[in-house]
Amino acid sequence: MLGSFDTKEALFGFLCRGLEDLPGIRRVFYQEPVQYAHTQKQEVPSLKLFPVHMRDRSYGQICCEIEDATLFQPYTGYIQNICFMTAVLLEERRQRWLNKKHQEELERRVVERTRELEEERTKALYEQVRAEEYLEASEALILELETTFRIVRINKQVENVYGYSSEELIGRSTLDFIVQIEGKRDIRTAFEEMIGGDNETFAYNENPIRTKSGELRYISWHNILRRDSKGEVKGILSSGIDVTERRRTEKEKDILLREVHHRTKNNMHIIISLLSLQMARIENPELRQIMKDMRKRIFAMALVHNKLYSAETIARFSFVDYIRELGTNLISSVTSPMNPIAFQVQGEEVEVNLETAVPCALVINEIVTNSIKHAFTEEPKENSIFIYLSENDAGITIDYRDTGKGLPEGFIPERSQSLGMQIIHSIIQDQLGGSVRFNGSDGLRILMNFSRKRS
Amino acid sequence: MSHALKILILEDEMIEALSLKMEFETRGMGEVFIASTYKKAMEIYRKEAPEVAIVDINLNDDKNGIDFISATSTFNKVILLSGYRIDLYEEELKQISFDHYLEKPIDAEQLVACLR
Repeated sequence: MLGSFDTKEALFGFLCRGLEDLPGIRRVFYQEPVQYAHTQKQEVPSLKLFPVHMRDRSYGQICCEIEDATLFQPYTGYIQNICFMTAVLLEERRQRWLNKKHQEELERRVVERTRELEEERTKALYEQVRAEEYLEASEALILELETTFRIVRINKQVENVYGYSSEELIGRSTLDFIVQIEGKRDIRTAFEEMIGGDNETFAYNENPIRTKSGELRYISWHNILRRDSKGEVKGILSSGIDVTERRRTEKEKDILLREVHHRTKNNMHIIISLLSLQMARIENPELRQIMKDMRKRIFAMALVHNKLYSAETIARFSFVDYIRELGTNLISSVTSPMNPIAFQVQGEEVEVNLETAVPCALVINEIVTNSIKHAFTEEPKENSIFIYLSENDAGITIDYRDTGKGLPEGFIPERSQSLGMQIIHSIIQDQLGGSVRFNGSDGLRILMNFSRKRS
Repeated sequence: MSHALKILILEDEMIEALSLKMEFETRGMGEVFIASTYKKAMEIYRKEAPEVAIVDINLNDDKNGIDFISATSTFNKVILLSGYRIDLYEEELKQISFDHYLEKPIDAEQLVACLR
């Protein structure tokens, strides 16, 4: 019945027209719930009201204007029933409508949520693809390892450097490829300690790997522990940079530098030879001595280059060894018939670079030459030169002593005009920013202190 | 050895060779012959029969100073000169006999002392 009445108004219109046919009724009309309260206030005695409601919900009321109450009375119950039935029907319709709305809302929400999920999935996928792109684009080798050091995942660069395909690598132990360098920390132990929680000591290391073709590639590794959400160690993430080329370049640079030092030394040797040739043509003994001294100075410098090119680390060499060699050489060339001179160098292993070594070499040359020339007499006596080298925060100290006759009465080294003294003063004080002290009371003692020059 | 000693210098750096020659001659140590190649040194060796050989190991030549000493046998004294440390030639030097190995730079007086 209700299906043909699309609106509530149509339904109630139909009902009211039907009820008007009942005896004793003048007119029947319908009131919405909003009008209801208003109408109640009107006190119209001839008006009989029949509310249409279901539980607490009101659907308005049917108002019957009574013409003859006696005639109408028997139909009261009938109208009440109709009103109740209508309320039931309307409530049912309302519930259907509500259900439909609810269903629609649900469907809307499902669609919306599906769209959100789709977006999230796309975004996650994009992030994953991007992360993988980063991983693949990276110049670094990236290996994910289990706690057993088995390779779980790698990036393309690992395949490129190792020469193995990912199928050949995944599942193998990373230790199968790393080459243990003799004398270096055992790799397995280091990894095991790392898995045990020692995150620091093996975080950075440089270990080579053996590629499929048998070649050694040097990799600088950075290892971090992988943990799950509970903080438990799940494995290791190793990232590595192939430093083989860099090492090669450094080696080449080292060879080149050594070659430069070697050639410098050779050229200085030619200068020494040229001076010797020139000397042979000089009659004047004073001039000859000047040439000879000059030759010694160049020799001292050439020896620095010799030490530098043959040193283990190209930029630095042992200064004690150098002084010993230079001094021994200077003394061995003494031709005068005086007593032999004992030469001794002791002290700490002071390493110097070119910037410090060359000026120091010239100073040592001057003071040893000075002792050889002036300190020792022909009287039978034990002649010796002793040098002690030390280094502390204040710099390098050279403590020089000889057992000679000391400084002549009234001789003030600072005021001396000799080239040797000038070289010593200007180098130690001006060039190296240090200090020189002379004591000539018992043999000669020279105390020199200066700071190391940076390269 | 103050009599007229025959000294052979095998050195491809002529200034150095001349300088050594001059050092020996001014001291009146003997007659000095200079060779800059293995071949020239061999010629002098055969012709003059020098008693002392002062030989630079590195020559700008196919054969080096060690080859020359290996091929000769009559020197009273052999002094090797080199711009490199002795350990570079460790194996080759085991095959020959020599008296001194001097690493450059060489002080002339040091070399003279070796001859005394």
